[in-house]
Amino acid sequence: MNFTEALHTKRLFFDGAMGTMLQEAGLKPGELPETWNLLHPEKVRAIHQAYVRAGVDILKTNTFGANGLKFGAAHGQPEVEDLVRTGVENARAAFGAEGREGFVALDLGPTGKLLQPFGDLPFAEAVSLYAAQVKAGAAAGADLILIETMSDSYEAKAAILAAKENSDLPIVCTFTFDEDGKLLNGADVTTALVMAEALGAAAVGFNCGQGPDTLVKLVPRALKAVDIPLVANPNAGLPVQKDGKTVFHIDAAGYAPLMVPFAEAGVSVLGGCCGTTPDHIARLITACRDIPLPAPRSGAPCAIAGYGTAVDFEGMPVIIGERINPTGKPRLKEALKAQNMDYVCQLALEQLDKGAQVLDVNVGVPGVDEPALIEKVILTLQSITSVPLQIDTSNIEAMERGLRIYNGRPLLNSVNGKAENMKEVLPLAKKYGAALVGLCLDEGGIAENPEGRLEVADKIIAEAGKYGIPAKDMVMDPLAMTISTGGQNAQIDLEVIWQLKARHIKTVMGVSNISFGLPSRDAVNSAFFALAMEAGLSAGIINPNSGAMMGAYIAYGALSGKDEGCKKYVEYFADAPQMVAVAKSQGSGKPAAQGAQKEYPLEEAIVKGLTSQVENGVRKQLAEGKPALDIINESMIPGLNIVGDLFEKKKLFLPQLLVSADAAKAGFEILKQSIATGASTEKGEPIVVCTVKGDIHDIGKNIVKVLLENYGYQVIDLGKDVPPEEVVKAAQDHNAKLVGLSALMTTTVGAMEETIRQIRRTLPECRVMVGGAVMTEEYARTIGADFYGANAVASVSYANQLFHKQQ
Amino acid sequence: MGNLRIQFDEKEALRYFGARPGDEQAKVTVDRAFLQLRNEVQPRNVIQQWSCRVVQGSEREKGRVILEEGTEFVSSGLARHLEGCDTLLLFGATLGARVDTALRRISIRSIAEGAAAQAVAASLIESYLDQQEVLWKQDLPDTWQYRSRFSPGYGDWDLTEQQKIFRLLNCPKTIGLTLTAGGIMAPTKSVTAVIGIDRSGKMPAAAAESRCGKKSKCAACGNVDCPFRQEEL
Repeated sequence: MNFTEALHTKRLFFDGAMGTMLQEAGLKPGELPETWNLLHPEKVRAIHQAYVRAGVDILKTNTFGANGLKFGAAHGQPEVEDLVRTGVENARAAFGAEGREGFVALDLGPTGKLLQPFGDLPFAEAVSLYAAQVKAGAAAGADLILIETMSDSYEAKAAILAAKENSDLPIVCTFTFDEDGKLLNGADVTTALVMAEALGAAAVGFNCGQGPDTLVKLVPRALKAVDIPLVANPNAGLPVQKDGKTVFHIDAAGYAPLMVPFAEAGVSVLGGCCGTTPDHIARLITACRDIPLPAPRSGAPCAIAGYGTAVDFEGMPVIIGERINPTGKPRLKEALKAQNMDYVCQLALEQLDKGAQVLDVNVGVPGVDEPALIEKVILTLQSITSVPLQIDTSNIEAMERGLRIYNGRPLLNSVNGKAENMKEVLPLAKKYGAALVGLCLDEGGIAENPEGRLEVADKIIAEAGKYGIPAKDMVMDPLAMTISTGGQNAQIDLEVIWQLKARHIKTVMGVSNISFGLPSRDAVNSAFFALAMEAGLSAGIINPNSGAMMGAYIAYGALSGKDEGCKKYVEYFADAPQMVAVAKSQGSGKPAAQGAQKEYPLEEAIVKGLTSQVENGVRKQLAEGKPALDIINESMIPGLNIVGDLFEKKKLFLPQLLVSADAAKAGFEILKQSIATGASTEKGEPIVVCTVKGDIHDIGKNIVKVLLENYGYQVIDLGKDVPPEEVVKAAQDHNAKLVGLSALMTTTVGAMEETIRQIRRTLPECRVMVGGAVMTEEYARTIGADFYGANAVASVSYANQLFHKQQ
Repeated sequence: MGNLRIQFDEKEALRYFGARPGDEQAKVTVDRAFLQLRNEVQPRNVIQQWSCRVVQGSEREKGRVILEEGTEFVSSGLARHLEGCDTLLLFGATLGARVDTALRRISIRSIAEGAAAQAVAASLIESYLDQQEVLWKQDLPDTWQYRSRFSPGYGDWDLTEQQKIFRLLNCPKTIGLTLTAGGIMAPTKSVTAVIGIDRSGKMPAAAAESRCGKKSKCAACGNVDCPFRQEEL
């Protein structure tokens, strides 16, 4: 019987701690436990054998941290391959020595690094670190792969992908949650387990972090989230330091009774983690072996997730924000071409503020490298929000790149009924565990009746099933076609939604297409949205910034009884009278919120950092017909200059400087819009800024960037942890004559020096300014910088001086 | 472990933000930043207690603090600070990765709030450690005397020494705290430090002054140009 068969037919038991046992056998603090596979195989085997005698079915290999970040010739340590091979051999030999059959689980722990964008380990590198372990483990004859102690769902995804791509072995993935049921990256139980199940794990569950007494509380959530078998390997209580040693409170006799509730609640596989011993496990087995194996489950809903809270399609329809899609949006097109990620992030945050639960991400602009761009946009968005994303592209390479880099379980938009398309998209959706949008169209086009579209829906669902994608993971799009060209179009969609709903098939729709070509589209869209929700629409791809659409959504909740006691409705409209007042007062040029406040001239409003007054002032001057450039030169820049001057004279301090910068930025936003719709745009001098390689602090760099942008410079922000070569390339590509580098710590000044060296070599004309907490005038000179910016204002002054700007 | 409620020290946050007393706008900005951060904080800490030996530095050689298991922290500043100590608490703490995500999010909306949020987060990790210190000490004998927290990067204690602390505490596994290739801690709002313990109950004058509240914890740090330095409380 192989592991997968055994998992579904008998109660299996994992062993307990390896680290705790090795320490007792003489492992010193700080010593790398995996080296004992080679140095003291007899001691490792003896521990395994003790667990086999305790009655376990699965031994975890002593390979938890055996990855290329710590091991190999480069680190003066044994090779990963040798450690893993001997790890598997030691476990196998232990079963042999005790004359028993059992399963050897190749144990993969965390890499010890945080993945980008949270730390500096690229996702691809994490995958290849795990791949090396998996290859060695599979070659050595492991029976399964155990990915354990995962406190970052993203790292777990890297490990699962590596396991799938380099072996056919079943995968078990266990996470380490805190008492609130959260991973360190913020993912909750549902999010983490749903992702692992979707990626193809054979079993999922919990290990480490807590004792059984508290961990058991998370079991009900896991049972609801996934249908695959569950695993629990808790610690022997919380670790406590005593005389410089870590000790665990729950002894062997106390452990077993605490594990019984796991078995009774429906957890299939039991074992232990830190602090547990063969005695703990032997008693656990005695206590639990006769508790019947839980019946298979099949009721878990389809959920999608980022790395925060998962979203399912069970309750109110899901709002998918449609704004990150360049179709008909010149400003976004331009931002995507220029890789201006801040603008994309602003669109995201705006939609989330207005109630979007999922964000659609479409970056299809002609002439851009879509696969590279979608990867970058997803990474960037996931550095500011943990909500699920809908990856929206028809470019197959972009689809795979997006699915791969994505942290969590995405919604993929889309597959259609064309044979060729299904052949390309379905394997990708399966491999990366995406929930999948199916468009009701095929080689025959879009049917003009409900029956035709339902037929295509059935075809897609059936074909997806062949790839192992269950119908519950499909979300069908009936396709909204404008009623301006076909009076029955809305009715067809409603019928399709209704029919699919009756068969428990989920639906999604880009609602606003219904009104294409009509005036006052919001009126049609919101009414259609309400009708579609009533017909059973599971998710709407809409503009959440539209008051009419969100109004329809909230009102539907109240009318359908899904919003109990109209709570959300009342909450949503609680501020409504005020909103009306603001709209009115904006028309008259007076901000309502600051009704009593004196109105200042634009220049002074910037100095005082009064955002709404700056916005109103700019709008007023534009309405009076003043050209944008004149407003900038006559009011905005003088205002900023006064602020800069006061800051340098220490009459005004950082908080005020930044509030002014925000206010000016808001004014420039309005001006940019007017310029974009009117006269030609003149881009300012390009300046490249970044935080150097190895450093992930970016607030100083961000302040400099905002100030430079306010002065009209075209700032190319490369972000943080940027390798020297990338800085040189960006400066070259944009023909930048000035580069600004930031480093916070002494340990990263070396990277700054190297970056300057490479800039000098390739671009001798390019000037470099540096700044950051550890930097000094003298230090800057030593590493060859042209200018040391003691603060953000000084950096702007230097740029202005360099480019002979008015100041 | 667990999500202990951290006391928010607004005054301290305003100081980190660089605000002058009476700056109402800064106060509002800091408070708004706090509201956006408070639910993102997921504090964690790991602590070990070690017997140690302190060797003071000389003109030729830097001072050292040697743990019983052999690890040596090389820093004359640290050795001076731990004069008379034969035990130390070694710990790491972090506010978690979600704070970093929130800091980025806040900065995109408003650079003023972004900088304020940095200040708020810095004050929160300090408050968290202050609270933890009280809890840790509750479990230890009343007669013991403690020095203030001292971290790599203070004075001449080189940041590269961080590696040694990470190896001992196993920070990635225990609290999800990692080091980048450049030796920077990720998540960013994190601290590693030692607290010296004098079990004899005697205390050098400088340490006593700091403890009795005459001098701030900054007094122990050699970075006299630090913009946030606070000589007196």
